[in-house]
Formats: sequence, structure tokens, C-alpha cells
Amino acid sequence: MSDRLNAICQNAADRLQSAVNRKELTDVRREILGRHGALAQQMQELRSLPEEERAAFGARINREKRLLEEAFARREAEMAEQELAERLAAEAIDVTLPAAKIQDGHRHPITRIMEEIQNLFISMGYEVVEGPEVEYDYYNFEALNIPDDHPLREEQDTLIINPNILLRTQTTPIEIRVMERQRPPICAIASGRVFRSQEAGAVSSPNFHQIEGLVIDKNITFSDLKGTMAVFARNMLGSTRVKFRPYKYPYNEPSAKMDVTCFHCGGKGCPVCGGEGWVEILGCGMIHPRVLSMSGIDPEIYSGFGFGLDVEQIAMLKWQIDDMRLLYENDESFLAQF
Amino acid sequence: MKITLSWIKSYVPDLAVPAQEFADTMTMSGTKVTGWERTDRNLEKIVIGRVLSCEGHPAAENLTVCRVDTGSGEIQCVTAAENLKPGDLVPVALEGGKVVRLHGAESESEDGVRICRETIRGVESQGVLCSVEELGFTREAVADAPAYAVYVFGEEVPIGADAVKALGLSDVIFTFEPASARRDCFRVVGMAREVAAVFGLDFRAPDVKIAAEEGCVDDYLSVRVRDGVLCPRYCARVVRNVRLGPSPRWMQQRLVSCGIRPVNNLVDITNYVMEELGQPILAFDLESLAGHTLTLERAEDGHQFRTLDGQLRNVDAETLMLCDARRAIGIAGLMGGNSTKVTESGRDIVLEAACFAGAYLRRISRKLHLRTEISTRSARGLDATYAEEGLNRACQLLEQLADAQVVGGMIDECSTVVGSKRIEFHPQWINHHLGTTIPEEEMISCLERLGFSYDQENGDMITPPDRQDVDTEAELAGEIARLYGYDRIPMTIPRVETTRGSFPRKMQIENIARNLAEFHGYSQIMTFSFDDPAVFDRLRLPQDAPERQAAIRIHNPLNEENSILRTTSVGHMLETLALNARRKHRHVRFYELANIYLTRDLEKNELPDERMQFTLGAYGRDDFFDLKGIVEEFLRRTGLRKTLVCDPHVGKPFLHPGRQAALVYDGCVIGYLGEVHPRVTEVYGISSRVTLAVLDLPEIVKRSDFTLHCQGLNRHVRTVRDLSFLVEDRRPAGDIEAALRNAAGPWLEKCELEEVYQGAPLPAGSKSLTYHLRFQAEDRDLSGEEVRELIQKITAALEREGIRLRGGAAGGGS
Repeated sequence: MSDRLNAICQNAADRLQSAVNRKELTDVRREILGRHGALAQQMQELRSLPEEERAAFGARINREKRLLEEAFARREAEMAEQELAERLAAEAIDVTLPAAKIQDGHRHPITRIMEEIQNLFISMGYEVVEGPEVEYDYYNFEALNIPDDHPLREEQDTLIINPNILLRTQTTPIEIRVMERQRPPICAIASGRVFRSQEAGAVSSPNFHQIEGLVIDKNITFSDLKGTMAVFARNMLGSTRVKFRPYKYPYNEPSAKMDVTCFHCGGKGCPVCGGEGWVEILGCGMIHPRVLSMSGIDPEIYSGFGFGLDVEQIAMLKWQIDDMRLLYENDESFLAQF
Repeated sequence: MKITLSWIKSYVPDLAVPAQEFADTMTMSGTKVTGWERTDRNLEKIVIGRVLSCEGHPAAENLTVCRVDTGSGEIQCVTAAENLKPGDLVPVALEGGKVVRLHGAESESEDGVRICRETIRGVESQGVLCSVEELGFTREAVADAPAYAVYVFGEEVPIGADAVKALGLSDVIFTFEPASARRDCFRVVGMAREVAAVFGLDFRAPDVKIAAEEGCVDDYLSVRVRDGVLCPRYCARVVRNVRLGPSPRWMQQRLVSCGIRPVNNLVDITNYVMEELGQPILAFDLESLAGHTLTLERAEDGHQFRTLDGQLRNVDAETLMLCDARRAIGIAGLMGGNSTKVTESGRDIVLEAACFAGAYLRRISRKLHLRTEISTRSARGLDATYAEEGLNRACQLLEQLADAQVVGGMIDECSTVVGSKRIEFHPQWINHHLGTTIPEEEMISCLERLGFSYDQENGDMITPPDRQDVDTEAELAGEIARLYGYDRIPMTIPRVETTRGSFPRKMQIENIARNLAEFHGYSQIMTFSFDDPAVFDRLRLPQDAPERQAAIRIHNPLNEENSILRTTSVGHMLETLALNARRKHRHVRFYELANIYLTRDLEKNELPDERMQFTLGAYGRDDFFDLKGIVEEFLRRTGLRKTLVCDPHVGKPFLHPGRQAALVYDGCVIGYLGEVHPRVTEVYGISSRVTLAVLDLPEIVKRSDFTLHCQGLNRHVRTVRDLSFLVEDRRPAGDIEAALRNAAGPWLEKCELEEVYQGAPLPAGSKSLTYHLRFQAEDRDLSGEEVRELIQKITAALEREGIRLRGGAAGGGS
């Protein structure tokens, strides 16, 4: 009996080692340790032993059974580990193959500039506003202190729909609409399309974009305008120096053009700035008291400033785009650079 | 606008600053100087010499050898000129000097030509005898210069002196770009006054004084202005016995520096006055005026008139004509006719100085496609005060330079002249407006330099008559600020009562659209708001299509291709895709956010309905369902949580009839989606299939909702089942899903279409749809029995609608 048990255990140990896969191992396990396996049979045969030997031999079978179970478990883990290693080895990939095409779309450069400027001013408490692109003559000119015989009307070749309605030539009429609608304090920034009767060329387009800003409250001064514009130039363009040149807008008094050090050459003079070292980027000024009162704001109590700039021009300067038509041509190879 | 330094100096004699400093200072005071150039940039060591002898060259018969006294010695020069004789005073470029170009050279060289001693056919030449061309001028600038020959001074000049200075050619030409509102700076005297004010120097206005007047103008001429609105002022004078001839060199040089070609003294004087005082002057031969009368009246519709340039032009009731007793002789403010031109000496001449409404001139010169120096200048707006001044100046110059006798008196038909104005002056307010502390005296001094005068008693500022751009205290503040110096004004940040930075909802939604589109590989395009009316034919839109009906025509379009405001975003999207296809881009995904413009009631002056369109267009990779996915995700992100219905009956003629859908949300069409009709892609020249989606943003903005509803987490047991249904293949999947959801009720937490299958072993004309269903109750764990019952209920309900369960319930697990 004892020899028989020894043989079973020895056989089990041998086959355990020689099993080549988990199925074989499971088979061996069933044969030895299963409900009808060899050890179970030994247990059955206990009955044939004399009474006094039974307990000791039974304990021995159980010990052997536990040892075998442990051995099987070890061997099984070993095999699982090996199989996984084989599978992983087989699954190796060629990591040098090209990447999957994950391609985000691109935002148009004009939108990028507009967003950048809007975000800067939002952070300073400005509200973003809009106005109609097809506008009344009143808002585009008259309310801006540009009467019918003003020379500016000659300068801004206007596309008109009828004697009272036109395609806005600037975003400034939005200022008027905001002033009519809201009470001070007003901090607003507007952007949008504007239109002029000019052929599309390297530096002009009949359809382009402007950004407009407006601040109205008590005690707003020209020095506030200068300070605000300097903050803008530093943040948007990284320009170190700004220059305010007097100008004359009918709706702003005093008014100014702001030049910044050329962001291409840093002020040394290059083709981008026409050798001047400076580029003109915006027009601004204190809102004319007449414009304020026409829009229902009392100039005795309130004052304010406005500024406006051409988005295309900034985009072209910033990214050295040499032809404005590129911005409206929409060639994928161009757009994908932004 | 170009003006020479010497001309400015004639009114501001003390001006003495280097050109660059002058340009910078003027720019920073508000008159941008865009450039300047020295007229004698490449002229060095050129002196006046006297020709002592001229002898033929021993080896070349077309050359002459001259000995010349240069004041500092005698030199020998070889020249090709044939106009020299001993005793002539000529400009000589000495050895080591420089001229702009050499005789016979085609163009000037950038840095001039250095003069060196050389031997010409065996004879030494130690300098160059110069023609005006070698000095860089045209013969127009130096009227008495002979053609292709050495210049010979007509008057006695000192030998050895600077020849360029003696010729009056040493000067600087500045190009100014004054603000358009500064009419006064578009005349030389105005600019000179500005210069004097900026540099704090004395300004000497030209002394307009006529020496002798005889008779009375009313005996010669009568004038009637029938339209005082279009012509607020019309002045005329008569001068007699005008002797035509060349004008003096100083006048010619000034005109040439402005880009005007000298003609004769009469024409030159009118041009000169226009530049100097900003007033256009016209001259008519008095005898050619029938009845010796001038009348300004509107033309009759349908008439024609031949202008001075020989062109026959159509005129109408919008055109103001200048007429004599018989006929029209000119278009007021634009151009005269041939019949009244002064062509010979000894004639009596009518001089006109008029002021026309700027708006009228703009309109008329645009309509007649006629832009003259006069119309451009006048369209900027003339000042009625210029007329009298300009006319008298012209009379004075004709008296001095053309021996004319000036007839006494001036005809002045004047409806409105605004002269000087009084403006209240509060230094405190000005400092408050500017954020400065400029002392009152400094303010007054700034303004007085600009020609204002201060009425101390009333505390008023009185404007100069030609500063019509100044009429409130704000302009006074502007004038003070710029003379005080913008760079001296401090920089501060406004202390505004707190405001909140924000985006309007519409723009937030546009931003969602941009982010989503770009995330899915769509790039933003920008196209014009204009469109070509032919776009409707290209898109196969019928005559009564709303896109055609709503289109607004631009009254003065750039061209036909850009003559309407677009009513659909599809045309430009297809053009853009086509352009990229032509340029061999294989896969393209574009989106645009831009308005369309739909007419409301233009007659009643209603502005059009501007509707922002979110347009997606692609060819190459993405198909209908990719775009449908983007649309659905867009609606989810904008808070449109109800189910989107795709209605195949959208009826867009430019889309594939079997691959198009109206996007219906909550019973309302918010856009459409589809593949472009092959006939349309053909018209645009695109060979691949194109898919489009257009969303009408106002409809989405209206329904958008950014409130977030968090429902916590339902931890009850979930049960999943996959069910396959058999239906006829034409039946839309949307129907089946709707029926499923309807029958299942609230326990159906998720329903996804897993697979659509057609073919064996299914019967022909049918398809199988497999749905993955997930069940979960809010309040408890569902038992297997409950789920089984629910599925029986669902299958029974679908059975009634002809949707048969295929092969029983599959899948399982919980």
C-alpha cells in the first residue's frame, strides 16, 4: 500500500514536470487529485487496512495530496507565466510604422488674432459685443460726426445698398450701438467684418476685419487710453516701445495712430516696416463729446475712449504674410500652418 | 502731398532744422512725413565756370575742347555740346565731384557718377561741363535749358560759386500725408503755418496786394448761381490784356516739385494758386462767353457734354453745368470745355474761384469716371473762405507776371460762408480730458501759434477762418495735446467701476462650433460676404427658391461676381473645396462660420436678417454619417438634448436626392446635411463625393441651454441584451429605434445599433438590425424575470409594427 502511494506520488511529480501545456497539466491533476483520481482511490482502499494503521496512513495520503496540490499550483503559475511571455513575444509590433492619422483642424489666422485680442480684453473686464454688418448710414457715418460732405467719406469707398443702408466700412458703428443700448460704465470690445469698394490685392481687400474697443465712465482721460494701448501692444505683439502720433478722426478728439516697434526687425528698419522701424497698428482717441451726446450719453458727466485696428494687417505683420489674398484663398497647405 | 523745403521757408524764413529732424517732428505733431529726398543728393563740387576758349577736337569732329576758368584755376574740358562760345557761364563738375548721371546714360545711378580726370581720344579732360540732365533735372524744371547741351547761365553769376545753388536746384522735397480732415494742410500756406506752429517760429503769410485796379467787374460780366446747395460760393474777377509766356523759374520749379508740368504763365499761375492756397481757379476767355454771363444750373437728363479732354460725356440733373447765355461751357467743379480756353495773348480773362459741395463732387466724379486734380482736391471739401483769397492772389500774380490789368471789384455769389468761430475755452476741462496738468498760458500759446486768438474778456478762443475742422472744445484739447506733445502725456490705466468680461451666448456657441469642428479635423476657411448671382444656377436652384428671392443687390458692386450679398454659404464652400481639389489635396475638411444676408423690407429701410451659418464641407474621407456625428455632438454640447430627426425630404436641388436630410429639432428645421449632387460637383470641377452640413446658428442659439443637470450615479444592477430584428430593407432604422424606445419605456437606459446585415441567409429585400440594449431601473435592481417580461413586451409591440425578432433573444449577463 505504502509502495503504491510512493509510486503514485513519484509518477505525479514526474508528469507534473514533463507536462508541456496547461491542458496536459490539468489532465494529470485530474488523474491524481480528481474526485476519481489515484489519491481518492487510495483513500477508498484505506478500508482494507488494519484498524490501527488506517489513521496514520490516511494522514499520510492527505499530506501527500496537499504537497501535490501545491506543486501543481506552482507548476501552473509557472506555465501561465511562460505562456503569457510567449504571447507577448508573438504580439510584438513594428513601432517604426507611421502613426495613425490624428489630425486636428486649424483655426483661421484672422480668428486667431481676434480671439487673442478678445481674450486679453476680457481679462481686463471688457464685454464682447457685436453689431450688424449691413448697417445704416446713420451709424456708420452720421452718428460718428462724419456728415455727408466730410472728406472721410471720400477716403472710405463705401459699398451701398440704398441711400440709407450700406455695408459698414468700419466696426466703429458698433460703438454707437453699444452707447445707445448701455449706460456707463462701459468696457466693450467688438470685432467683425467690414467692407470697402476696393479691389482685392496684396494689401487690400473689399472684405476684411476690424476690432474695436470702447471704454466710457466718469473721469476717463487720454492718458488712460495711452496706458491701455501700451498694455495691449505689450501683450499682443510683445512690442517694447509704442509711439502715439496725433491724427484726426471726426469721432475722436484728440485722436492718435499708434505705431509699435517693428516686430520683424525690432526697430532697425526692414522691408516689413518700410525701413521706418515702426509699424502703424491702430487708430484711437477720446470719444468726441458730440458723438457721446448724439448717442444719449451726457458728455458733461462721462468721457471715454475708443480704438480700432485692422485684423488682417496684424495677422500679416505677425506672421509675415506678404499677400492679403492668401487669407481668403483658403488653400489647405496655407491654413494648416496655423 | 509734396512740398519743397524752400517753398515752406518762403513763409517760415527762420526754419533751420535737418531734414530728418524736420520729418520726425512733423510726424509726431500729427502731419505724417512719409519720406523726403534731397534734390542735390548726388551733386558735388559743381561750380560756375567761364568758358575762355572753344576749339575743335583734333581727333573727333563732333567733340569740342574748352578751356574754362573755374575761379580756382583754369582747366580743360572735352564736351560733345555744340552750343558753347567763349564768355559763356556754365556749370562745371570738377575732378572728384559727382553728378547724377553722365551724358548719354539711360537712367540715373543710385549713388551718382564720380568725376575723374580722363583722356578722351588723346585729349585730357579735367572736368565735365553739365547739362541739366547731368544734374538730375528735367528741362521742365529749368525752363531756359537748351536741349542736349550744356546749360548756360542767362544772367551774370559769380565764377567759382556753387552752380547748383545758383540754379535754385538745391532743395529737399518732403512728402506729407496730412489727416484728411485737415483741409488747411492740403495747401502750402496752411502747411507752412503748421510748420511754424510746430517749431515755434514766425509765419509770414503771402502778401496779397493788387497794385492797380481799373473799372468795375459788373460792366464786364454777370454771374447767376441757381443752386446754392451744390455751389455755396462762386467768385469771379476779370483781368485784361493778359500776356501769355513762360512763367518764372521759381514758379516752374515749385510746380515741378509738386508733380505739375509747367505750361504757360496763365496755366501755371492757376495751378500755383491751387497748390499755394488750395483754391482751384479756372480761366475763361471773356469774349468766348456768349452774353458775357455765367450761370450755374443743373443739366437736363440725357444731355451730353464734350470736356476739355475731348471726351463726350453723359450728364443729368445731378450734374451742375456752367453755362454762358447760349450753351454749357463746363461741368462745374470738374472740367471746362474747349470753347472757352485762353489761347492767345492780349485777351480779357474771367477768373473763377468756386466752392462746391464735397458730396456733390464725389458723386459726380464717380459717376462720370472723371477724376481731375481739381475734383480730388475739391472732393476733400473746399473752404468757402479760400475763394476770395485765391482769386485775389491769382489776379496779383497775373498783374506781376503777365502784365495784366486787373478790373476792380469781385463778383461774389455766396449763400454760406462760415468764417471764424468762437469756442469756450476751459483749461481745467482740457486737462481733465487729457489727464494732464498743462498750464493755461502754455495752452494759449499753443493755440496762438496755430492762428487762434484768445478773447481774454469772454474766455473764448477764436478759430482761424480756414480751420473748419475745429468747432468744439474737444478739438481745442486735441490741438493743444499735439503741440504739447503726445509723448509728454502720462500713461495710466482707467479706474472703471467693476465690469465683467464676457462673451455673448452667440459667440460662445460659435466657439463650441470651432472647437468641435477642429477636433474632428476640420479647418476654418474665410470667404467673402459677396456672391455671384450665377451661384443660384450652379446650385440648380429654381427661380422661386428662397435663396434667390432673399438676395440683396449691392448698388455699386466691384464687379458682377461680387454683386450680391450671399444668401447661402454653399457656393463659397464648394468653390474652396474645388480650389483645393485642383491643387491635389486628397482629403479636405473645411468649416466656415459666416453670415448669410436675407432681405427683409429694404423699401421700409429694414436691415437684412444676418444669419450666422455653421457650414461643414469635406471630400476624401468623411461621409454623411461622419458629418451627422459632428452635428449631433454639436447639438449635445450646445444643450439641445432632444433627439435630432433626419428628414430625408429636404428638397435641396444641389444635394444628392437619396443622400440628403433636413435636420429637424423639436419640429423645426435647424439645418440640412447631405452629399452634393453629382451634377453640382461637376459644375464646380470636383471629381470626388462632397458632403456638406449647414446649421442655422440663430435657431441653435435660441434653444441652447448651458445649465448642467447632474443626476448622480445609479448603482442598481444593469442588464444587457442584444436583439436582432428583421425588416424590409427600405425601412429607415430611425423608425425601428423610435418604436423600440417607445415600447421599452424608462428601463431602457441605452440603445445602440450594433450591426446592419443584408444577404444570405436572410430573405431578399430584407435586412437585419442588431441592437445592444441596456436596462436599469432607478429605484431597485431589476430581476431576470422582469427583464424577460419587458423584452417580451417590446418584441410583441414591434411585431405589431411589422418588425420581427430574429432568432430569439441573444446575449445576456448582468
